[in-house]
Amino acid sequence: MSATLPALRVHGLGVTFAGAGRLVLDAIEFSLGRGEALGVCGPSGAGKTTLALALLGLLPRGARYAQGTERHLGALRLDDLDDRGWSAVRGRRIAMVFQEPLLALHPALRVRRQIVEVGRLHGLTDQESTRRLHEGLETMGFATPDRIADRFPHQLSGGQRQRVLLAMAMLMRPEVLIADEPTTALDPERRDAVGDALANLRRDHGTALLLISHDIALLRARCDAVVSLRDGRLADAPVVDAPVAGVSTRAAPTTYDAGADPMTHDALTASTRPTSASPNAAAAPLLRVEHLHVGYHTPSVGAEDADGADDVLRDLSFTLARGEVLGVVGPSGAGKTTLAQAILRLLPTRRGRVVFDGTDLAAIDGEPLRRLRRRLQHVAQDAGASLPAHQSASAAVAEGLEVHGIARGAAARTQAAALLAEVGFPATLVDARIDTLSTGERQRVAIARALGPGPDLLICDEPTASLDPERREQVLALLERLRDTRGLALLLISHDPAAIARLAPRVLPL
Amino acid sequence: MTRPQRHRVDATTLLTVGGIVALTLAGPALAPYAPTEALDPQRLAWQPPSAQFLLGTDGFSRDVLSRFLVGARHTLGVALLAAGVALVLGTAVGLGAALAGRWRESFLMRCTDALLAMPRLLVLLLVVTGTGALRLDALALVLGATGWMTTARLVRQETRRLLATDALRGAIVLGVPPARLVTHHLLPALAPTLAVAATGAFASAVPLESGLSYLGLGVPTPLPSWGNIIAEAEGDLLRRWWVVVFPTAAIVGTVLLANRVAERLTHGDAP
Repeated sequence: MSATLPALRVHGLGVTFAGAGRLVLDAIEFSLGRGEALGVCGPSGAGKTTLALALLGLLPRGARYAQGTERHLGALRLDDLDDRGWSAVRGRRIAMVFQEPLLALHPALRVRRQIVEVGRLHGLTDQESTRRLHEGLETMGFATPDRIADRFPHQLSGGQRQRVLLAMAMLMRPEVLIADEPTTALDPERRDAVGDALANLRRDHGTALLLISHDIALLRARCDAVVSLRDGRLADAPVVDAPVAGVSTRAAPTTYDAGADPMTHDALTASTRPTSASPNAAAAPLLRVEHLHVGYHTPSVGAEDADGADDVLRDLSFTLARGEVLGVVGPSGAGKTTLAQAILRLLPTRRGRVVFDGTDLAAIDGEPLRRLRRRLQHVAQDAGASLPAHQSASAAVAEGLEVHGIARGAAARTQAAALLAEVGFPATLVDARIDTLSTGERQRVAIARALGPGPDLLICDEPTASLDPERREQVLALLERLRDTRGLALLLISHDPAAIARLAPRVLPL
Repeated sequence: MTRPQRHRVDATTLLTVGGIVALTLAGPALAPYAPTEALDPQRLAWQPPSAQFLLGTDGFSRDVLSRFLVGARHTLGVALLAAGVALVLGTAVGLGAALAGRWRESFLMRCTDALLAMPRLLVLLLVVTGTGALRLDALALVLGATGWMTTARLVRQETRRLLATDALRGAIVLGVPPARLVTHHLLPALAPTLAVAATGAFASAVPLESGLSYLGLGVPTPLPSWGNIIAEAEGDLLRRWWVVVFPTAAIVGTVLLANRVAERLTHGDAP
């Protein structure tokens, strides 16, 4: 009906945060026609996610729109909507795929149930919702949509969750789809599949796409125009890209320069890199995983899989020496995060053993396990979700020092600030609440928090996925330095071939 | 698709709650007569509402408005204290069960279910007839001790959900000890649930106190409470309607209001 009007038009959009006193967005202008795609890039903390939330009327408390802000969806002026008006728009006419998919899914409901409920809200029959869900999941490259639909969000890998969210967002064939870093948790092949699915959505349903990413290559490949957001203002994107190492969108080489056979590690570590760990310590591995089986229960798998046929991880064995970096690679859904969680005792193992420095992790519990956690730390994939949202950055980091008796009170805060500085976190934000930080900022808080207790082994689950090239370089250099100076062993889970190649002489493919 | 939203209680509800609190606090100062004083048993008993006695008088010629205003403190105070007791007990049991896990959790929750299955009024009657008239604080304690089970179930369920979230798992992996996990991570996240549970416990304690007082087993006479004001009309409720209508309306209104607050606090938690 409104064929001449653009799908989304924004004029003079400004946002301020009361607490920080900074103008997060300033006089944003753009318009997006039916079926068009606009890419927004920009460094971490530039306000990319805030822009998306502002377009959906979902700004956090304390945030305010500047005078003269105008947002139009077709002929509808969004600034005039009340809560009821917004709920008729969100999900149906504008859909959003959040950057941290775990925060956007209801943790206690199976995927199918969530979709059906969203469909009901918008007047779809359950059958129609299910049909569209299956279609969407197939488009997103799932071979067995039924199985995925029967899982709980925590039973999906990060990449699977992102694709499930995209399928959900497409449920109502929205006029505008806002996707915030929709491919960060995906391997290059799946990244292409998702890109193709987004292109189909534009072509088949005329959906206009606002694609937010720091991956300029992806934006250039998938969007009609690319703009850059810097310090809250829009500008033309740089023509010559900043170092976007390892983010080529197509056909990334999968030949990592390391032995594929995990059992040959001793020879490899000895030859590739001098470790700073003491030579005799190298004799006993820091981490030994023996014949590990881990699985989930799904109802659609008829006869309960007592034989472990449906296990995500099957008969996995490897070892990791002190100060060694082991890369863990594999396609989305291969069980990379599951492996991390099983080692951390967040998931029960079905069979096999995880031995950390001579201690069988399944054999201890309570206080001994808690004390051992000091030496075994984790940077989660959805780093933001793993932090206490209501605390300040420095309090979150100080907590790790306090609970292990390393420092208390003011001393802990000072050390926390030093750790935050070490990971390149802006000093002005150390007292800001976690939930006012950008994803990239939270990522660095999570790394600082994990480093606080002084671990021997750090499990990093996609530590660079949500960072812009500059910050990514910073984090990689930091990990490298920690390995060399502290003798920190790393289990590095990543889709980023360049990061793996740089840090991990040995790779475990899943 | 939904980010956590703040749930607000609307202005009307807040104003009403504020009004009731103010009236209750100012009750003795506002009361035109002493609430326990028999003014003139010969001539002023069972006076219908008039300019002199806005809500009439009871059989002892005591002013019902004065008794109503002062009685609010006893009725609401006891219910508030009872809700507090229920909240503390219920949170302790619910958190304990969820954190203990396995057979201890099953044991605690089965006990809770068993207690929940007992008719509360019957238990209260048994206790109160066994001990005789209770002091106000003891009455609140007994009401709280029989009303924590729903809170325990809510808290256990929500705690289990929270323990599966990334934020709590992050704290566990960091090595946060159980006590700090409760104080710094679980309790702040449980706050909305606890608010709902407390309001519910309050809403159920108000009519129970009134019922016990009506039976002469609650707030001890001659101290007024909404329940024992109504009790005075016994024998001829219809003709002495003014003794019945106003306290009853207050009881029903308070319960409805508490439920509304609870509803506003929960609203939006659904997916």
